[in-house]
Amino acid sequence: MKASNPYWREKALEQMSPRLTEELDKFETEIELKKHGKLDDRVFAETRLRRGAYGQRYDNGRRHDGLKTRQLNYPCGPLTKGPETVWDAPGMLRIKIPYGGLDARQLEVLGEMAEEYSDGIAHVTTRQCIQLHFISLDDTPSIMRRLAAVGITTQEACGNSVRNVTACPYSGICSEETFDITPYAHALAYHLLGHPDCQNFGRKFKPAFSGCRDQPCGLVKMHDIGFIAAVRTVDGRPQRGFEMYVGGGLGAVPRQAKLLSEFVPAGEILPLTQAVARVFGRLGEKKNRGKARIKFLVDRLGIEEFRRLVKEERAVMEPEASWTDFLSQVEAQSEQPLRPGHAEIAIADDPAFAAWQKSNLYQQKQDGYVAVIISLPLGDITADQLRSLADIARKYTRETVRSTVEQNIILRWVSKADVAAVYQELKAAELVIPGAGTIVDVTSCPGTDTCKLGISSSRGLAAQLRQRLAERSAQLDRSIENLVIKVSGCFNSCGGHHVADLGFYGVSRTINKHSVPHFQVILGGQWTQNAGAYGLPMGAIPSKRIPEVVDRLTSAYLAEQQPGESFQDYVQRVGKAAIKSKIQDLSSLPTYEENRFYYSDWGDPREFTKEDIGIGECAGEVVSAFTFDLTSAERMLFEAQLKLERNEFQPAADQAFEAMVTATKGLLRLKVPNVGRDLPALVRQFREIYFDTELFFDPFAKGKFGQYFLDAAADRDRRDTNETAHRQIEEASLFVEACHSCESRMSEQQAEQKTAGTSAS
Amino acid sequence: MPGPQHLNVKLFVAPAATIDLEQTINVFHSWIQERRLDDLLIDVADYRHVPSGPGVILIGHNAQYSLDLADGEPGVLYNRKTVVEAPLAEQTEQAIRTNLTVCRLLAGKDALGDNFQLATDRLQFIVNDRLLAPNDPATFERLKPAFTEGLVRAFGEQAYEFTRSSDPRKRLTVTVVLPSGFTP
Ligand code: SF4
Repeated sequence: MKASNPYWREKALEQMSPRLTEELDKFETEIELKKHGKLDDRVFAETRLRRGAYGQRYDNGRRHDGLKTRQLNYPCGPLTKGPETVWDAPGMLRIKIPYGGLDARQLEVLGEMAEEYSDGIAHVTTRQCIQLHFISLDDTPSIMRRLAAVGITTQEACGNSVRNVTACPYSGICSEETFDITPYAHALAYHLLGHPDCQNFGRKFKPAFSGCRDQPCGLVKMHDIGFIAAVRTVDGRPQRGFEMYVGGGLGAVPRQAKLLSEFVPAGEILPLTQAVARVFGRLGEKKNRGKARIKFLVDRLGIEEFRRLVKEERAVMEPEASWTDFLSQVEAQSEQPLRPGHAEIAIADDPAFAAWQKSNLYQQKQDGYVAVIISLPLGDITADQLRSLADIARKYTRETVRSTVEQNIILRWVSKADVAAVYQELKAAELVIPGAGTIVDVTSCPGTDTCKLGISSSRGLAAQLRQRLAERSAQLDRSIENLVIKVSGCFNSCGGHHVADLGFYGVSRTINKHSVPHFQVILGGQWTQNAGAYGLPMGAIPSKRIPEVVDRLTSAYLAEQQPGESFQDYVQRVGKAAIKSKIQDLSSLPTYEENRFYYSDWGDPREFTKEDIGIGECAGEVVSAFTFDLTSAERMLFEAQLKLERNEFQPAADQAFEAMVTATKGLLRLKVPNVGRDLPALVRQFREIYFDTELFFDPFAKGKFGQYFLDAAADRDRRDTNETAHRQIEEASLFVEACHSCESRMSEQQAEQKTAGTSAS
Repeated sequence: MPGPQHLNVKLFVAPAATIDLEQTINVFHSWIQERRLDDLLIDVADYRHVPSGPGVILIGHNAQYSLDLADGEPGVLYNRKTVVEAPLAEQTEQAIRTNLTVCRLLAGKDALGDNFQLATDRLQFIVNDRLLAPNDPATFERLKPAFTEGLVRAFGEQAYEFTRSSDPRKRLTVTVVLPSGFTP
């Protein structure tokens, strides 16, 4: 924990939006409440997850050191930050980067965060986010403030929420695109951020945008919701819109997204997505998290019924200005170059430059410009490199930088006249690794390095493959060079193994009474056509033999392919049995006594064990919307008390009343599908559903506590004194308590009815 | 505002030394098993694939200990994580002594052995807190006496020479030349 933490609040304040300031103050209060034992573990876990503060391997306080599992005795003692999650244990912070867009100052601040709070590395994820590892939870509010001051948020980067909106990193510069989808991705990301209609999901919800149908970059079909740019002609004029997909996803049970609508006009994508979110929030599974992603809801209902429900929902939604406000800004948001374009790239007599130029430059649709792909090994970049990159981005471009799902960074709008100079400056920063987008550019999830669910070392394997393939890259045939390798540490597929030519995911097998790290081999997935097809499993092979698998399969493909045949087609043609026979012998191993090499994982000398696998937080904690609202109400009451202590009477009373309103919303959510924000409507609904029916009535106090809320709502113009503010806080506390009691009574009644129903039948 | 509370020290590896980072990973794991440091040792992070990166890190609760490759200059980095509530001179001495302990262990026969040698004429301080110690000349001048005092406590009186890294975006980074060197 940094001593400077409290001071960052003041420093960052002036650059932060009031909404984020309030949001982070709330988080800090919740941290205090948790430390004082006033917040439930599950609620706190979900609340931090929704701010991007994620768990990390060994945070249950136990670790197998290669000999036995030992307790990690952190100084915090029994204090936890979630179920089975020790407070002091290092965690991960996921930082949302919508569509991967970054500017120079943001790069610098990410570097500052990496070196001051983490282990010196900023990690680009397979969904264009940035992750910092080995973070202390106590430092997270400061990190979030410093990021917010440069326009970056971690809000809803994890948990059951709308995750980072991803998009093609070449949007705006790609010759294949229908139009630049960036402003639309931007609008959707910020419209849904913290939106009340997106707070009641049973699982995460991942959106993606693509500028065209055939190229891979947007990976729309493997997302919960996806948009592919389309144009239609209306009254002789072109109209922009999107093909909209829903219910895709990878994970253990991959699904291709289904077409929700062939054409949604651009001004309609925000409300329609909101309608999808409302249907998902209302009907999606909440208890069984293995079935809670939207793909299962779409499966259960069928796409026609799902479409009908979305349409019905859309029809009753109150209009919001942000649905279309952004449209007038679309043109203004298009990127411009800093320097004049140039016809040719100067030829340099340097084989290293030539190799880099071949794979790491992307010809923009705008004549005279290229995008430079900065290949990051395993998505890792240092603070010094981020600063150098910021300098280069300022000097040669208008800071037009994007992170990619291939865990690289792209510098757009580089004039061809500057390529040689940019190369030299990147070289000085050790950022000219060739082979971007080729077989060498292996992507990987964090795996056992830091992920609680990891089974095998995906990063260890990816590093190993990278190194071996890079050594041979000059001799690789073009058909091999273009293959895609992706590695995940377990079946959850964060590395995207389903959509690779050669995909691998971590599993374990017991051989000779010892656990052995393995990878399941998945072949023939399709990276193109927005992740148009998923690969097929070929069997598990020991981790240490996966490089041989790659060698054999690529050699076989080279020898046996028909003219122009893709790897995917080759796998289909030759068939699973024949392919399997080529690698099957690799699954047998020498005994443990003969050769221990196979019984530990890449980059980790400990004897392999599955004992370190923890309970993942990917699924978040399923905390009901009611619990969330009531927790917020309690936090507001606490803040109201602090204000009263500072003699801020009016703000204290107002805050106490806000606590009542928030608790009321929670209660209403138990009965009404969509709860609005309009106070008179909330009061009316509370009166009709809970008060007049006496549902809210306490057996002893009857309607007294409910009357407190109705009276306070009718008297909003009051000027509060110490005495009235005091009374308002007391009444609000009693009202919030009464909301809890009311919900308990209703749950008990429901349980009794269920029991009665079961016995009767 | 309080003074800085997170001081890092890097002791450079001698140019002639040959460091095997894979072996370092094994050594760090064995230290966790054997609880070789006076810190709660948690895990090992492997960044061998990052050029001029953090190398191989032994993650502890109070500090990270690494064979660091930053700036293309391998060295043993003591990267303080938890707060040290002590005057900076004491922090300086403590950080140097802890790092020397790590280096002695690394030079052990059961670790990297003779392949591991330190450059004894230089070291580096990095103050890991931009707000409490920005990288500017005034802060440098303010902290120099404490650095000197800490160095004197660790290595005795010498005409220490200090050079501050000039990029204001970097953390306050000070390279110290020790004319009489130090004994590891
Ligand atoms: S695929 Fe598995 S190991 Fe990899 S990050 Fe996801 S949950 Fe963790």
